[in-house]
Amino acid sequence: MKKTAEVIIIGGGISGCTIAYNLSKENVDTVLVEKGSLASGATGRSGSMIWNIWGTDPDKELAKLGLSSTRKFAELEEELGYDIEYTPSDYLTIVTPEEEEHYRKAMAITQKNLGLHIEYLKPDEIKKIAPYIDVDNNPVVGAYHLCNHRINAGANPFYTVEALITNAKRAGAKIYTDTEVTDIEVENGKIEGILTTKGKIKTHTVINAAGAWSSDVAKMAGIKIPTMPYRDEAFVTEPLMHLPYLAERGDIWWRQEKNGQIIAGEETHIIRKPEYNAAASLGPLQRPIHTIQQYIPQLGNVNILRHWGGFEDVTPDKLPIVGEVDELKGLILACGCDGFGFSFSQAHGKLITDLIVRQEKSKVMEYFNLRRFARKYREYTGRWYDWP
Amino acid sequence: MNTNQKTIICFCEDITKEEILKAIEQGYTTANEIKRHLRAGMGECQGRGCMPQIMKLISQKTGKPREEILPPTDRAPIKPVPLGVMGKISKGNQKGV
Amino acid sequence: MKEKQRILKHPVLDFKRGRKINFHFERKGITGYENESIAAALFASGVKVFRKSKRFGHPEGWFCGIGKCSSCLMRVNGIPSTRTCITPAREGMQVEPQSAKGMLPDKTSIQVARKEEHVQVLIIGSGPAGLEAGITSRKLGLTTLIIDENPVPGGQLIKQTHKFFGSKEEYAGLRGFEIARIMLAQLKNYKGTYLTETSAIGYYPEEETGKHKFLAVKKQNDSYQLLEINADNIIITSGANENYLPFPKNYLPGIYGAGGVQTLMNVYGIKPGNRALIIGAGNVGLIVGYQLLQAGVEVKAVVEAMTHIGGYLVHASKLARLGVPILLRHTIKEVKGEEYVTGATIIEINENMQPIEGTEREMDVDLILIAVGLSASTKIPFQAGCEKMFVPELGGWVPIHNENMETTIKGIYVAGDVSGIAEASTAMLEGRIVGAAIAEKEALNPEASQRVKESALTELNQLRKSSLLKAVAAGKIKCQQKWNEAKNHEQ
Ligand SMILES: Cc1cc2nc3c(=O)[nH]c(=O)nc-3n(C[C@H](O)[C@H](O)[C@H](O)COP(=O)(O)OP(=O)(O)OC[C@H]3O[C@@H](n4cnc5c(N)ncnc54)[C@H](O)[C@@H]3O)c2cc1C
Ligand SMILES: Cc1cc2nc3c(=O)[nH]c(=O)nc-3n(C[C@H](O)[C@H](O)[C@H](O)COP(=O)(O)OP(=O)(O)OC[C@H]3O[C@@H](n4cnc5c(N)ncnc54)[C@H](O)[C@@H]3O)c2cc1C
Ligand code: FES
Repeated sequence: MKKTAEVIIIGGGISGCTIAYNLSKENVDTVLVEKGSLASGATGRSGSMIWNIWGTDPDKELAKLGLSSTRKFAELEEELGYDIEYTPSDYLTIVTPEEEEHYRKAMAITQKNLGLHIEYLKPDEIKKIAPYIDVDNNPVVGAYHLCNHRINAGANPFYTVEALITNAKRAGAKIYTDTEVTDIEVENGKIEGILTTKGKIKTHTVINAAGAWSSDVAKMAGIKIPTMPYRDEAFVTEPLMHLPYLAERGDIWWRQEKNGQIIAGEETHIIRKPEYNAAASLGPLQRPIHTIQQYIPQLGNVNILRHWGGFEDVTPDKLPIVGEVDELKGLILACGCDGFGFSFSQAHGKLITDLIVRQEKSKVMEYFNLRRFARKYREYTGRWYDWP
Repeated sequence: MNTNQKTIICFCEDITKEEILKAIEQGYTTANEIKRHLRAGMGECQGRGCMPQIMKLISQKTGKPREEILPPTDRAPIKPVPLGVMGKISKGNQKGV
Repeated sequence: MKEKQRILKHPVLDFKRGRKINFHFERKGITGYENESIAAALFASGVKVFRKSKRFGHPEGWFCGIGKCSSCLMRVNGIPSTRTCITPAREGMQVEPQSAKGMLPDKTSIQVARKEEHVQVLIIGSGPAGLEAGITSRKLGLTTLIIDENPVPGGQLIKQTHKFFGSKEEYAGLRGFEIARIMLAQLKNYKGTYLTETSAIGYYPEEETGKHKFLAVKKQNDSYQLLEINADNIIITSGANENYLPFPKNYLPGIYGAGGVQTLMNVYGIKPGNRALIIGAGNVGLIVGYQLLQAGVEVKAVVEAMTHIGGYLVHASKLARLGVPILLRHTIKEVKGEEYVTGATIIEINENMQPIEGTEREMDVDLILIAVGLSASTKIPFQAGCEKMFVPELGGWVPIHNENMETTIKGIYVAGDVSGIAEASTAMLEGRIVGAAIAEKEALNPEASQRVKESALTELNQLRKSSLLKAVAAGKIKCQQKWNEAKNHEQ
């Protein structure tokens, strides 16, 4: 094991791996430590849908940042020289009567912020492009349609992480898997190194990309952060021939993988008991299963092959926590990615690299800083959610 | 009909013995890693046929004893089940293993 | 199409075929019989290629015959990826081959009924282990539900036409399918439910109470029943899976596992081929070789990589008497054929298992049978989270269990081949031990239960002294030690 490193990344999910690739490309002496295998956290369990996370956000900066991440994904295969099963797809968001107003507003915001052309389809028009969606027997008033922008897509999370790490290694990064970080050494307000199950590495800079475990890792350095682990569920079907649209209804998402399997789940926004039990659970899948069956009735007769759970890290305001910690300068946070960490990863990698290599901080980095949770900053972004 | 001299290990995803051996050489030395890297064992038969062979090949190729090569995670459902059937479970059962 | 593959006369079995039915395959008419699977009816009509593989477009056909391998997926009445080997053929059905991936189903509805069950004992599997566990637990007064995914109860027993070895008390000397009949008759003496065509699909304990709960699905024609089974105790007797063998062109139709061949010829009365080569001279290879001869198939040779015959000599001599050569230190080198097997080349191997050039021999065969061992079918206990260990003497990875056959999860038990590959007599004894151990625990008839358990244990230990089972005995001891370690660790 290496004895010292300029930067140590804790966590080998999509966040940690993207950061490792970006840093080592800029000749930063980088080490990544992962307690299991790469992508064994939320990343390998995710739906790995790529969409413009803040596309409908009134804040233009956020909207642009999200878009930059999805655009970067479209270039990734060529840049990394690897097939990551990137599959762009046209995107439909089915709109019900109660939601119509909300979506019309959101569309207008997207068009204004990003200059993208977005259509609103009537039920008959939905039938034409996606005849398998049952618009007649569901409360559908229309659909929000985004096409041909190479924004919405999917990718294989294992292949993506593999591609990033192969390139990072080539640029000199050292990757230690099956190695758990057990402590972060802090002396006189400065990070001195980390302890792992396989030995000690000296460093002054630690990046916490430990996803659902990020608050445990921060605690090792004596820092409290408000990320909470919560469980999300997904399932996958037997492969089917290509269905030309990614679709979504409310919080239910589904996408088709390159090999034809349909992978789906629900964004619950319910903060469950913080616990790390990742084995199968069926209850929370009932809603996505019902909704999908209701909108694509034929899928009722298609077999489910596997289902599983994974852990995301949620913050009170649903924005990630990115950047330096005021009280401990060498600790950099790259967590709080909720249900959008895969989509956000490419922007995430760039923000952290800009910070470390060029000490650059954009306006969004202010939104994302941990200090927003201190009492006096509470109303800072105006996005406070109920927190248990 | 395409017939050739390939030796198939995973029939659902059509993964050959050569590909498995190459992956082991590249450093994928657990059943779970091979599964994620090649998709072997992720198909309709849920890895019933190929996984024991893959674990054997890993042991042969790396020289590690068989007991160190753990089987991959077994996930529910252990048989493929239509989506419409899975959707019928009672609401009370909110959590499984 | 001619039905030339059907067995009309058999020395031991009498096939009672149901009513004739007609269905469509690629718009051609196919004749089959009621109670026959689609795949079996197709095979009998000469259809050998069932699908083209996803990536390479290889021809593939019948393989496991019990719904596990996915080699027979087709679109049936508009529903893609139907496992045709376990789907009964019905009048007027539309069957189409599917290339790689299925199209969306035509059908927009699915009929599902949900049912909840509460029992003291749930038994998953009805081979000798499951049936005996059922008989014992019912005899001792426990409410017991038995499920099996096969349409016919009896596990491995129903496919065996030979007289079983083992212990007299456990029906040795009778033919496998006869043993199954006797055990089923015994089971019927007691009250309790028995469900066939019902697959256990996963363990989902109650969140709050941690109580055991299994989900199972029963398929009935076009509708389904979803069972939520709440059980105080669970006995898993899911048997074994066959090992595969990697060699060039091993995907070709005509290369089958022993189980798949037995299902075709001993359950459906269909000849799996006309000239066979058998790989593996263990008991399974030898016995199925003899069964092939009974079905009227010519057996060209049995090849075995080792220097000795692994199975019992009785079975080997039976084959030898009928003129079948058993070639030790031989293996398969090549397979001929484009759409299905038309021949094979075998070759001698040296002490390092390397082929010796120049020793090749051509075999004029259309059937290659693979019988290279079994491994425990552990998906159910492992998904439930039972701890596992690798025990070579038991055939590989098995759930850790104690003398009462309890796993590391309290109230979940295993018995028979799933707990380590052995044979039918010991599977029954293990089943009896579990049944009695649970009755003892539930304080029903404690004295009687204890007596049953003790005597079964004594008999089991006696049987395991035989040369064939010595290794199994050693493996079981390793398992029990590990169980004790795990339990001490917990405390
Ligand atoms: C079911 C599900 C579906 C999802 N679908 C999508 C989607 O479609 N699109 C999308 O954009 N996002 C989706 N997400 C969210 C996305 O998966 C996550 O936001 C993202 O993967 C987070 O990546 P990460 O690298 O930050 O964390 P993780 O992937 O969780 O990685 C953190 C890593 O840190 C390691 N670690 C923890 N502690 C230590 C330690 N002490 N020492 C060493 N290593 C440690 C862990 O082992 C883990 O591998 C989904 C999530 C789930 C659960
Ligand atoms: C060719 C051959 C010849 C043999 N000859 C002899 C002999 O002469 N003497 C002897 O003693 N032994 C013999 N054996 C071995 C003997 O048959 C087995 O050891 C014995 O059958 C094991 O019994 P079991 O109950 O554990 O499993 P099995 O008999 O394999 O039964 C398992 C049952 O579980 C069911 N099942 C599996 N998964 C599920 C699920 N998810 N849901 C519901 N049900 C499920 C299966 O459908 C099956 O019916 C022979 C075996 C073979 C293959
Ligand atoms: S699943 Fe039908 S032959 Fe194996």
